Amino acid sequence: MDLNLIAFWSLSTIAVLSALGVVFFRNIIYAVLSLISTLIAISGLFFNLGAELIGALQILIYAVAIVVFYVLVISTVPKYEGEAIDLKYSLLSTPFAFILFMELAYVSVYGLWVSGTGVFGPAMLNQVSNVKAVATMLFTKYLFPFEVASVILLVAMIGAIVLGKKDIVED
Amino acid sequence: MGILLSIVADLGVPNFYVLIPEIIVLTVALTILVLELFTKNKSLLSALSIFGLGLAAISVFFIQEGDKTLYGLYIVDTFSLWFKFLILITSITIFAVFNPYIDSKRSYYGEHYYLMLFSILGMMIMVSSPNLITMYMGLELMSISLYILVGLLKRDYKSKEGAFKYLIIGGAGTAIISYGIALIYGKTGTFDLIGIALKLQDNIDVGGIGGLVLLIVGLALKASAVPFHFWTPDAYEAAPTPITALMGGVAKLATYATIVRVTVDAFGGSSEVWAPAWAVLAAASMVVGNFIALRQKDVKRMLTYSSIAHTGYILAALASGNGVGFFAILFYAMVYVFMAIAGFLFLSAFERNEGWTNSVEDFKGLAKRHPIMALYMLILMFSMLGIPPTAGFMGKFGIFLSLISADVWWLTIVLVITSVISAGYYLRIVANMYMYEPISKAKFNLTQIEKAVIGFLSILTLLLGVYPAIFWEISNLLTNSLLMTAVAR
Repeated sequence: MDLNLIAFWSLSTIAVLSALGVVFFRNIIYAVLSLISTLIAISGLFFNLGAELIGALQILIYAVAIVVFYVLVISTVPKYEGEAIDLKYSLLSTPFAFILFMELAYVSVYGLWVSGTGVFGPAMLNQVSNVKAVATMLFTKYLFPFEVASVILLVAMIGAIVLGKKDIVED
Repeated sequence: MGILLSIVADLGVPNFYVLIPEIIVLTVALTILVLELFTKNKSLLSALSIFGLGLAAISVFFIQEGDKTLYGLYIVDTFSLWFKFLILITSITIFAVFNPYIDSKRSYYGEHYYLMLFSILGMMIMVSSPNLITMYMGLELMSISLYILVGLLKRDYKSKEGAFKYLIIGGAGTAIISYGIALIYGKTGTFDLIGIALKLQDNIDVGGIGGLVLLIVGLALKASAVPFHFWTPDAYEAAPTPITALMGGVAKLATYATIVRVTVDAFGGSSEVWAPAWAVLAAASMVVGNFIALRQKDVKRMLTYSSIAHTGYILAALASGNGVGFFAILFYAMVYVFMAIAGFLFLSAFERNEGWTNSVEDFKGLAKRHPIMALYMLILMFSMLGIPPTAGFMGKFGIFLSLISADVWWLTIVLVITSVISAGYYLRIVANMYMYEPISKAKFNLTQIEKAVIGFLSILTLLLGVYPAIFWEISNLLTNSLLMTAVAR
């Protein structure tokens, strides 16, 4: 059996099982740990596909930054005693999840995507790495959105501070 | 490395001269960000903001149009320059009456000024985006600044609640838009509006439709069309009233301009998909907005629902899918921004006085106590209702003509019937002002600037109805420039 295939199946199994764990664990700490496991498995899938940049970003942003954020939130709220399965929300969310899945599946099967075209085709990517290809586009053609993103982050940071701090009432 | 150099070699340096209005607004915003740490002088901060906006508005006239800069991610055409100018001018009116309001609410935040400037910067980026990525970034900058601004009212729990609702639902909206953009990128391999149009031509398939529908849903949520309007009443009512004017007037104008540009430039060939979608959203907005507005006792909330109804009127023009429709939507959006801002600023001015609760009852006998202000409100209400000779009539007339020209009769009937229903709540305010005796004789305390700004906006609404030629010309010019880009593909 091809080694790539073995890696794909084992990583997907881990990802799906951990994702089930995120939904069904009663203890919220276990759920967050399962989430980390899912995210790392997905990052492994990206590496397996040869997208090493997205794989690394997945680990850096999701498995580290966002999960740390979750852990911080959990540590500030008191112990959460919830139902493992809330019937009302399950019934409500199942059709939506199903519709979303069907839409993705249908569009992916019949959408006939454009891929592997453009300047950075497979031949080009064999010569330069993913990182260089992304950086070339990001710092030339997409420079402006990149700069606007920095303003957005500034605004978001200001907002978090202003809304989070205690009101100083003027007299 | 040689290959990469050959790719970037012919890119050149972007032309920053055409970005001068944006650079001015950004510089002023960052200056206030620093200055606000050292001074609590409200007049200085607000004067600086108005100065910056005015300078940026003047600089718009000195810009060479017809240029695409920043590697095709930023367009400077008649359309974007005119909307930039309109956004800057209308924002100045809001800044002018902002200080008295926060004084009376005793809710000073230095952050107000530069967050408003940042959101205006976002709107300017939105209207001048020939590319979905730039559009998305501008939209995010505008929305995130507005989420925060809604929550900036001291000692008011509702303001925080409204901000939170707006954040959650607005965040879902931007997520939907980015999902739609991803599907369109997957289908066409480009973010460029003209590139998308070239790739899709007239035969859009399931991948393109999926992306287009998600994009429409997200943009409709930002424009608060029914059934994606649930954040609107809470956020609009909870926000400080001048901020509501910013959201309900200026931000809406930018959103409509973006909607028109994206649908016409990128999906011009597939109007059979988006015209019915916008028609359904418009019909729902008109019906729901007008019927709920009829039951409101609070005038601020009533104007909010009226704003949802106006989203319906304005988007209805897109159902026609032809040049007349684009013309009508641009004209109505441009005159609506004056009416909406004047309406909310009217409330913001009166809210400062003791005993004013924004209720319909408060309007009783206003004509005797404040004849001039009552007259302005009369003009605004007639204009929103669409009675000649106000600008609102000319706007609705344009929409009506465009719908008839495209034979969308059912929507025309909905438009007429809901307009008649809307008389129920607009005229109630007029009747309360003119047909009742005032409960107390006390004069309201309004500043000269407030009177001047509201008067200017109301008289402009009247003048544009009596003599709409200038705005007709401008809408015509913008429609042509829009269609030229779409046809030039």
